[in-house]
Amino acid sequence: MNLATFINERRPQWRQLEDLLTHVEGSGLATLEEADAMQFAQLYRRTASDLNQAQTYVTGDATVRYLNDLVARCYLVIHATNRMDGWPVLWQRIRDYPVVFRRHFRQILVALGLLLVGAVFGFTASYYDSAAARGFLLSTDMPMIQPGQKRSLQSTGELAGFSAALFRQNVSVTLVAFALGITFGLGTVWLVFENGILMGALAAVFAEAGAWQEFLTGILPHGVLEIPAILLGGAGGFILAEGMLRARPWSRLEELARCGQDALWLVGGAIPLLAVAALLEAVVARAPDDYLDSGLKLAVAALFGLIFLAFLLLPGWRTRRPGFVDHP
Amino acid sequence: MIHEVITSEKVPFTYRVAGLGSRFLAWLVDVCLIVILTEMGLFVGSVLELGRAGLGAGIIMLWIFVVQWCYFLLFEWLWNGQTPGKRMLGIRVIQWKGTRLSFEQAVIRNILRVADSLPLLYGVGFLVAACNRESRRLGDLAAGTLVVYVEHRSGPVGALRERGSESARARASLVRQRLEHLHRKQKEAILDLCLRRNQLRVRERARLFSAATAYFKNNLDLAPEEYESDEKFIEQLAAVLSSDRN
Repeated sequence: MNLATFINERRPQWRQLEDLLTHVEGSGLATLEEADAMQFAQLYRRTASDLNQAQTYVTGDATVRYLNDLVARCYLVIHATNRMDGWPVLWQRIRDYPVVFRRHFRQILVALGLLLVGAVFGFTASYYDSAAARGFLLSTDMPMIQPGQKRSLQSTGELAGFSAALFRQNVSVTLVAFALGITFGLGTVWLVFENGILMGALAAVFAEAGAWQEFLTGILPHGVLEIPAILLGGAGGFILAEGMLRARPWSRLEELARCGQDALWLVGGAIPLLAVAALLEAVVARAPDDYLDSGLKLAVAALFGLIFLAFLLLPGWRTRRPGFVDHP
Repeated sequence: MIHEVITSEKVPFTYRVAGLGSRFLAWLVDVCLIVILTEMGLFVGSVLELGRAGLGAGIIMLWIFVVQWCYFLLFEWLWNGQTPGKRMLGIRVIQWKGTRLSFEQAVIRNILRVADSLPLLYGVGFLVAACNRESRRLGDLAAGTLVVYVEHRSGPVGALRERGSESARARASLVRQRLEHLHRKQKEAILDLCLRRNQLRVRERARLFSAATAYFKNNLDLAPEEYESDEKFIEQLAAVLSSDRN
């Protein structure tokens, strides 16, 4: 091939593609006029084939590198179909959530089991050695409730600040539980177990003071949502870990990437849960008892717990799972 | 390290995988920005706190939360795989198969940042990235992403001269004979010099062309004609080189 002829003939089109590309990179494919869009596609295909030719026949690096960069840039803007386009996608995800939840029920049960084992361990340990329990509880930066604590009515500003702090703390725990799945699940196991211990030890402190009712009204209104949220984080971590461990027809890396996306939407459900839970904790669970009756607090807990359970268990049984075909 | 992608038209093209050095520098820039953003939040929050107790603290909490978890995520999602630091260093996150990274992937790779940053200063992430050929940290592995250079490293190629008049053609046969003595690398260097001449600074351009001319004068006994600039002379040689295949 004659390099000079090749370059001089094709160069104007490359420059034209470059101009269009700069425009697209700045303001998006959608802003192109119809004629320009057609031309962009045509120029891209032509340039890709020029690259192919250049790789085979042309000596010297400069031409190939130039065309390679041009094609790479085009490729990035052309194959951008996977953009999340707002509300419809989000709405679909919410509707599919119960199905996703039930599909990963096994991992959630594992997380629940770990949390319970941790709680029992924490409870027994601190029941017999209360100094250790308090030491363990005080060492965390979570604002813990105390038996016999006098609660004062807080202003709305303080309530907002307090629930924001709770939300941030709890989302971080949940996301970290998910992320640590990458340590073959070991980090997740520890984090879920540790949260169980915290709960158990706190229960033991209240049990010692004989204040069970206070414990339940102080924990349940938000706990019905907060505990599932940490379980979701833990389950997400276990899904990641399984993806790393499972030998499949495709490679571990591909499986890991697939599992990551799968787990993500499960864990994502924890965020709205935690937002509601933080508000409930600040407003309901920690309200002074003469202001909000303890029966009312438990009723709120029951109400939110039931709504959440109903959302998870009732809808979506009739949606066809992807990959399943009904035969008449 | 080069990462090859094959387009749907079956044309292979390559990305250069970003090294740990550029990624570290980009991260450093981003961390500085995060610190600045956090400080701004603290300032606004403490002003509000004066007005209404508790509210300012709440806003600070939320702001820190948003900056901490969403800075990388939002930029990588909205800026096509780049954060301000990455843009400055000319690197970009892409999907492993060569296309733009999706929202979910941006989320995953940035949640997994927590695991990578253990035990401190990205110890795990650094170890993992140093142990695989494409410098992917745990977050990249879990999200199926890759960080590459997408700076516009090669500007447009210039036009090449084609063979000119009769007299030039007569000279061309002599030139071609002499040029047979060049190594392949040398020929490529001459062609590259001509193709990329427009990307050079004026001074560099003059220096490189006169250096090349001096080489031909001394070693191959080829000199520019009177009134012919070094650059024109080298371009003549390139024209002969580029057309001697047909």
